[in-house]
Amino acid sequence: MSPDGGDELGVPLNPASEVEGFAVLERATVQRLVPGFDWRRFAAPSPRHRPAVPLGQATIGLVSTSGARVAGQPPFIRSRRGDPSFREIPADTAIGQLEFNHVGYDVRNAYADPDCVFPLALLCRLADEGLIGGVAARAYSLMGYITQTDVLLEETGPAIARALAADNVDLAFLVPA
Amino acid sequence: MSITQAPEITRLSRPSLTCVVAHPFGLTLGAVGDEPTHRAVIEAVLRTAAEDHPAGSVIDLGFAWTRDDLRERQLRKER
Repeated sequence: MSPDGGDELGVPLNPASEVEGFAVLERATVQRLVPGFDWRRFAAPSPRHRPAVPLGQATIGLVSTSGARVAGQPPFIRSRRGDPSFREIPADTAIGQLEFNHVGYDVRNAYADPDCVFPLALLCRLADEGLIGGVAARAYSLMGYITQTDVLLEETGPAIARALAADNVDLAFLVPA
Repeated sequence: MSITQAPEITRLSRPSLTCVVAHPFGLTLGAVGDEPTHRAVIEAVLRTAAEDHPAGSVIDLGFAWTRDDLRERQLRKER
């Protein structure tokens, strides 16, 4: 048992809130599909780097787990193990060309208003208004049910990071669905 | 810079800086058509990104879902 009373892996045994309870429920749900699944833990946080330029000059790179894709790209795989792949979405993609598939939420709202989970169009408007310097030429989308965390950490994540760096992104903005 | 709707899970993975937005899954930035809230969330996240917070900080922005009980039902994994 961990010092805070959690289980041997640190997840609260007696949730103090609905959110804590959700962590337990969600893990149990996934374990029925992928025996042995657990949340990935890290001993130290990722390093923090504040943007080197003011927001009004910053290029923002959007990364979303909404399951968004451009029409014609293959949908994310709906399987017990999830799908660790990603889709590259040009920043000038018309809203009508966005498609969504995801196992964890009702995508009808995303189709009705993509900004709810994939705010590419809104970020472009904010750039036009001068709140931010600009939006990276490419946005990235994953489907948030990913149980193959090794693939995510060793392949998918680094590939997206390299692409964001190549697009001179000052701030990566990760939006979950 | 990231958003989370499930901070207890996020605290396990320890990203560099995260903002809590207590909205339902699938409506992260707000309701369909609610551009003022979508903008308010993004602007609050960007302001937080420009502030001096130590690595691993999880900042509650104070956004809560009051339209219905969708978020509560999702957290209980009710259909």
